Amino acid sequence: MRTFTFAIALLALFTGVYRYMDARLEQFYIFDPAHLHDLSQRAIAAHGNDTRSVVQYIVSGLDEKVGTANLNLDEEWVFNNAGGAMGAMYIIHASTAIGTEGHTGRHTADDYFNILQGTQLAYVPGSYEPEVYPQGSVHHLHRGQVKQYKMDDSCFALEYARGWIPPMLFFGYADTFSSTLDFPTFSNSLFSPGERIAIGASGGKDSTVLASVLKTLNERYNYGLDLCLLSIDEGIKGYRDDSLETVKRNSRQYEMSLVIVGYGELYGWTMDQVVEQIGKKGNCTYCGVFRRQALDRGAERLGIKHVVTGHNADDVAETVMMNLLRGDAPRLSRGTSIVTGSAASDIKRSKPLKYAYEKEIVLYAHHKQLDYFSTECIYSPEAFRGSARTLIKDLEKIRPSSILDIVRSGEEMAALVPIADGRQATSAPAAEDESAQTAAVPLPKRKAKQPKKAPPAPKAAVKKQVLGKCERCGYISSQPVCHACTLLEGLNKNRPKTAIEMELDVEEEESSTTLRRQMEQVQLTG
Amino acid sequence: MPGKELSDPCMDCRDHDAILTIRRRRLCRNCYIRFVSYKVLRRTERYRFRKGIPKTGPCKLLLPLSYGLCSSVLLHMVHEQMEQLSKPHSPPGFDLHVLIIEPSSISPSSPSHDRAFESLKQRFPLASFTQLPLHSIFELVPNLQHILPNYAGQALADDTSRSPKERLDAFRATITSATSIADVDFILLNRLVIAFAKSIDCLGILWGDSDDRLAAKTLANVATGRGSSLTWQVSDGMSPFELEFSFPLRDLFTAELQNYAILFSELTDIIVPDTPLSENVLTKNLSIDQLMMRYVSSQGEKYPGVMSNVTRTANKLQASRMSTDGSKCALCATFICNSEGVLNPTRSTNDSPSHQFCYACDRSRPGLS
Repeated sequence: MRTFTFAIALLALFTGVYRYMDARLEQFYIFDPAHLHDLSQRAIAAHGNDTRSVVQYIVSGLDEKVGTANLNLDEEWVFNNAGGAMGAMYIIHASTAIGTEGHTGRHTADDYFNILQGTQLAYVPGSYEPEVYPQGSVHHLHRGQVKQYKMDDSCFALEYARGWIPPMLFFGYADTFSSTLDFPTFSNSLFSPGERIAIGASGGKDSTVLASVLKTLNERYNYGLDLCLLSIDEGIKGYRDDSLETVKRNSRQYEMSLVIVGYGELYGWTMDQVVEQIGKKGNCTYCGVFRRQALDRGAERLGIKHVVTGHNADDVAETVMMNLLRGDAPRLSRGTSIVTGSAASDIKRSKPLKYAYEKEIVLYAHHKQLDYFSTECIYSPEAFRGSARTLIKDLEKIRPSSILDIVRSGEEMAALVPIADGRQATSAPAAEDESAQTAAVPLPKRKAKQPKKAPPAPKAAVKKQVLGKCERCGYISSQPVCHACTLLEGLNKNRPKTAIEMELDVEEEESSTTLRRQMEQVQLTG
Repeated sequence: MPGKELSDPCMDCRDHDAILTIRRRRLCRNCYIRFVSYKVLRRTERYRFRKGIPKTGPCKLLLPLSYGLCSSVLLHMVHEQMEQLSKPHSPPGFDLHVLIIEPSSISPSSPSHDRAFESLKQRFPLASFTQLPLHSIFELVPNLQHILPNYAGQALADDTSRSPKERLDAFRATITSATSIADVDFILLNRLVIAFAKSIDCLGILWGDSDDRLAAKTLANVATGRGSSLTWQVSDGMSPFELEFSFPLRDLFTAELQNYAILFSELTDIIVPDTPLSENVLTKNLSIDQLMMRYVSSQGEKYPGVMSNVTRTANKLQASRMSTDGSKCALCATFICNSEGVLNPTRSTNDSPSHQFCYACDRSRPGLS
């Protein structure tokens, strides 16, 4: 087993819009650590702290020794965000001008850091003193070893990794998937072996990456999960029908079964028909309420109690900001938790990509050349949400970590939201025992005549938020008639009903950066 | 009343010509002042009537003054209230102490404002005044001498033989990004104000943040990972520093305060106008704080009411629900939130208390921002 792969690269160039390209290079061992160390020391001796010259010296030195075929001489920089640390990588080395700190990651290769400038600190759990690597020294991170490391301002290093490289790329690209959230622990808290899980798939990048990552991990770490895809067909021509084709291809590519639940069959109304009736304004409310139930019903049809969705850190951050801006404290307390049970159903939802930046997901999808669909929903978004999204993007420009900082703030605030109405407002999965089985009672269709007058429900039950079943469709609801049925009634009466009062449990209109823009994921949260 | 034709009568008194519009109402000078002052009067009730506070004995409040618009207007209004309170048969009221942190010690580009300090004392005789430089923080919070080098790490070569001012400047110079500078400076100012308030036995602090300023502060705190500190940064009540915080200007917009200030010439002498943020600054060069100010002012026009939502939502949070093991951040001195389900970066666990920093302070450390 001496097949070794030398690697790399992706580059993110920022020129107003950032573009990225992939340059991949596979070779056998070409460099040897002793030579690199010697070369680094000569470079430092020749150029001191002039890092640019040091780098050039090394590049030309390597050029002489191994020839250009194995080197990328164009100064291409890669944006690398790994282990919570952020640096920029020139194709042959790892470096940072502003300093960084993080987790080394557990790698399948030996890693040699030749420090060209500045000092690198490393910390090994169990010791009380940091390891210090000054200019000119080599920090050898053994295969499989993990350290905390820190590179101060203007610390540059020539990094050479020897071993099985591709898994390291995973660390590099997908920080949150593989490093900071130490996988086995992470997965244990989310999944249990043998669990059947439905991936809310829309054909967009987030859910496609989620499917790809879960499949990879499931096989690599023997999670023993039974994965399948669950898609919602809102019935939007020119948008959803195309993205569903992508999901169908994904289903074949990942060998996962696929179930599609349509608004048409569930409610007797497709979104196209809803929009025809009520116009574009406020249609997202219908879509959100219907989707929530549709996901549950789809999961139920599959006999599955756990749905995972592709919400990423940007989406969660946007939700936090939106809930703050519209003054919705109860949702603030629920929107950020990674697993949400809901009082309205016994189906658990989770967002495994919660800590992954949208950019990482795009890079991952691009790197793995995943087959995904990206188009904006044709029944477009509210202007106000757009302003929140712009705000998040502006924040990211100022301080890239602020997306995760908002997520963190959201989590902190969630714990501080007061208990409302006797219901626990914490982020813990709520009320699973309370929720009775949602029997698959057929929903009222448009043609099916519903009794116009429901018997008046006792008012006290409404006030206390006692969970009961919707008397129309049997879906769990705190009101006599669930929100979806109320909306349907309005539609069926040809009377648009756009005003939506905020109720505690009825629906959860989770925002998604991508939801309306590139609409790929299934709306979620409980 | 014959003989008087007003082309634009005040909607309240109808005796004078209106000069200003506030919340769609045309008001004359006096009615405007009354309207605006009343918003603050309501907020200081607790201290004026000593509700829940011993009726006798001292009741000292601190008002930190930056010579900015908001805090100067607040001082003016609170001082007016004190004049009312000094009349016979009025409620016991409170004592006001004003702390000024020398603007030139915060930013060398700010002019020294000594003349204003003298005129303040003359204009507001019922309050007492203290002026301190920022580096006096080393006297009032002595252990900060050890904390700051720990916080800055290798970026700072601390030299204890140098003067406090030089040491503090060296520390502040290690922080490079606009956001982190604003963040750390705010923490230093905050700690100095709190330490001073405690040193003179104040019951509470009256902060001069207006409605839109509070909204921007809320959003900026969230964006820098300080979600749990909203309970004292923008909410009235007991802070984790054992001082009551109150924000009496929370019902007023900066523009309304601006109109108020124009009506008093003595205020225009004191106030150092904010340098307006140039439109040409690239977004990425702004601090998060500035970005939020810009967002609040631009969106506040389009969606009126939304911005006060932000502060109101933040006020619903209850500090008592925070789960913490009691450990405090060495830099900002607030409890470190370690609720379950809260993202915590990899950190070594053998940290001594002076090495322990909260998530948000960690983010602003030199070399990380």
